[in-house]
Amino acid sequence: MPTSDHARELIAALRARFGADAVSDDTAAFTIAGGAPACVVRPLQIEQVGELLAFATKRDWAVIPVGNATHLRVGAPPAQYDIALSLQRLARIVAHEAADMTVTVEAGVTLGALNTALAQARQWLPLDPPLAEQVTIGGLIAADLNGPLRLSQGKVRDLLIGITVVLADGSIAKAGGRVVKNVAGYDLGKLFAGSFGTLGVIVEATFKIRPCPEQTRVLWITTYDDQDAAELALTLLDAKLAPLFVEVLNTTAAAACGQTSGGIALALGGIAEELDAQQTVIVDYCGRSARVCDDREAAQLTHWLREFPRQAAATLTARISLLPTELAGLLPRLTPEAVARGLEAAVVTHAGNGVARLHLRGDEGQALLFIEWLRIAVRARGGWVVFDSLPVGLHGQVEPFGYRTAALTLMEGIKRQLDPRGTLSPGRFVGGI
Amino acid sequence: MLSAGVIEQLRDIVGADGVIARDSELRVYECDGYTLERSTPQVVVLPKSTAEVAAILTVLHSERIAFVPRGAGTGLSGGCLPIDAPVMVCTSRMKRIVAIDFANRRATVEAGVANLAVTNEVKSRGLYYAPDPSSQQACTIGGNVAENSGGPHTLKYGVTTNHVLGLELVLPSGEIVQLGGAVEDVPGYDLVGLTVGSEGTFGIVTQATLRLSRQPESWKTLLAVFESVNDATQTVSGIIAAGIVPAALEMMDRLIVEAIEAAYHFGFPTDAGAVLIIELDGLAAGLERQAQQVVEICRANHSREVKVAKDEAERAALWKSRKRAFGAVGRLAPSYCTQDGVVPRTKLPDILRAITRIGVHYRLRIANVFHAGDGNIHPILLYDERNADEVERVLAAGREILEACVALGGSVTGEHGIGVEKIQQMPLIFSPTDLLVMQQLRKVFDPTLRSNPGKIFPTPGVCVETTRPMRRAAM
Repeated sequence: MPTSDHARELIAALRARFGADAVSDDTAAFTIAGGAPACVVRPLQIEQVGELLAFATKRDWAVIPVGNATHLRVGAPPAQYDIALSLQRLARIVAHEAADMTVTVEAGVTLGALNTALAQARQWLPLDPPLAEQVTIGGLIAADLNGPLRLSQGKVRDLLIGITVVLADGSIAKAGGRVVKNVAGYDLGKLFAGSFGTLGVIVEATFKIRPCPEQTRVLWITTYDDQDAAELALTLLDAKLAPLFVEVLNTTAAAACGQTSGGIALALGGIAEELDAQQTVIVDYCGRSARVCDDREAAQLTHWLREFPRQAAATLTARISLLPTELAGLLPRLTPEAVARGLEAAVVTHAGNGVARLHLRGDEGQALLFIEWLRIAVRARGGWVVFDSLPVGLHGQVEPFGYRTAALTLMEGIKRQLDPRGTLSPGRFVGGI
Repeated sequence: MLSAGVIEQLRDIVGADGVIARDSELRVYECDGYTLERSTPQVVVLPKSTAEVAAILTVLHSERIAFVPRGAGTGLSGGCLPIDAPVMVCTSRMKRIVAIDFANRRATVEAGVANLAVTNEVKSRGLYYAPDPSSQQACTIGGNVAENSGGPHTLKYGVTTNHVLGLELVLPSGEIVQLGGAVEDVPGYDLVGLTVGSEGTFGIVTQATLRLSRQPESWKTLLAVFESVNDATQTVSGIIAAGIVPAALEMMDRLIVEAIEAAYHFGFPTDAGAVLIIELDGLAAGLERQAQQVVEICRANHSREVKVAKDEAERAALWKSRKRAFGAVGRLAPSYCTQDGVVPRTKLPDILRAITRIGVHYRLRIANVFHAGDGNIHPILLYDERNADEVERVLAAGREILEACVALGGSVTGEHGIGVEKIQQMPLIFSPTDLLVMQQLRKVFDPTLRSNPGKIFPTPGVCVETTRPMRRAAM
């Protein structure tokens, strides 16, 4: 991390170049794994982002693009961190073409502000990550954030149709466009979605958006145990339903959101006829264990599911991705394996996507043993575990991504092509990229 | 020229029947569905497995020989035209369905498997592969991946890239890499997303793991007849603006309806200005109300009549007519060239007016059949390839149509790819920096630019003469 001399020199140089009001030394909010940058720079224009990156790259200063710092703990601690480049002031909704169902925004617009604006046309960008109100569009794309709605709405990659990025040398490049179907040139949007700020700084994006469902309804289905829940969820996913989301909560997770036992939260969206017909199907399957939540409980439950990955009390949080049936097979084993090590595991799964979010609480040493078991168990089933937040004590002992395949060589090649001097978010991504 | 030694090595890999080197047999491979330009490869190799592809590319790598991958050759932008590439590697013998996981709705197939063969394999279990290009009976999954193919039903369900989870790619070095996989969130950059639509410039995709979709419980397919193209396009805007997302929303103009009618006798009104095929699907409950809403929007835009397909047979007939539209065009002129521009869907009336104007100016007949819901136009420019002057006018008109799309905020290709056809239009939408970044990415996969050279990226200094095709046109 920067020494104070280095920091002073850097701040002075940046202020001389970009003006005093664009450079701040109040970096507390932008700390990553205990490390703070020398300063935060908040450009007002895309061109300034380019100037800053060219400036920093020439001097081998490491830059981490940030929005509102809602998800900075995701990813590995940086190898070097001199400047937090905040996109907060690039916050214009450039064009909302309601009749075309597309929207173009600058990276600093928050998802909350965007969806408030879109709601006037009864439209939305249907992504529901934690802290959706504060998370910026740039952060949403860079960290590939999503939530329960991914079952029905897809991920960032499915909605992003155009992107503008600033590269480490300061050049500005774009790909895609503002039309919903477009195969001209390589699809850079896909590459930048989930790139953790390692390839370039996302400054503008265009999404296809969708009409808001006319009505929504949330059902809670109580289950007997984790195995019952996992299997029932698969059955429901195979039934004549088109749910917005299907989330399975183990007993610990369910208790944390005020339910008496584990179960399934299922949301429906659409017109009244669709909701009624689907509700009938669900009740046929589940009988009295299914109940419709009232508006207040539905809102609370939806919010809780969205915010679950952010629960502060956890020692560590992880995401597991597997085939849905493999996840259903693994789920009943997670709680006993944790309990056997004196740990508490809260698990919520996006059952149809095969993605589980896990919170572990307890002794770090035992947590490390559990992690080792988990990685082996998940790899054996053909999946991956990514650790979103690790206690400082486990940094260096656990690689957040744990990813080593032949494709990594290509990823390293891409990094070298676009950011040859390693200016951007060094060390944050898979394999130390 | 390729040395006899290289051809011998290729024969050793794939067997004598897997190498085509005789002139008469090579003619089949001189173009794809874009017939304005032709070029014959020196040799076509037909591998039967990933290992054979890897062995072929290893030989070509050590000899520094360029190659062009090819599937069924149904592409519409010259994507598998051999340019400065003596060897064509054709995946047509790689037709194995490797694995199907019904419970998780995944299928892993070899690159040469036809698009529709995937659906045929799984439909008895209520599943299907969603992207449905009109050539789906013939076109291969490998080709779909290369072009990021679309189809009528991609409006609601997304194009190829939304349905591919994993790829097996043989790099031009001969190395085999697995990108993505069967699970959704594989750590790392989304190399699958980058490779889909890269038009064969990263190497040869040999296998793909696809997401299968569940067949909708129910559907309603409507045929709406309009006096004018303008009324039809206004209806499209009206449907989208009402927040209805049909499974498909297709438009055909009078010229194409006449051709289809003459060819197949589906019973379309040949005096109508335009027809829309509108398909709604999903849960049975609620479809009726949505269909009613669509009918009202059609009426508000002066539809002459709206027919609802009363059974599966009528629905199938409607789709057959749409998917055979291109085939029917053969009745209108000896040759045709299809453009693939995209505009924001509210600009459809504008682009269709522009197309009419351009057709008049260049004295060309232009038929329109296209994915209206996506704003993806397919004007079909009719011509006779023996008429050199007309060929010139077709090329000029095509360029002008694409320029009009870009001017309206659109793009030059929605689903056919850049290939060789639209190389010169890339600078209309991308800056030199944009194109440089893409080429930098290409070098990661193909450092010596030997995989499908001469595609996508304009070469500086070449083709200053823009009124002529770059290569020998089919005359």
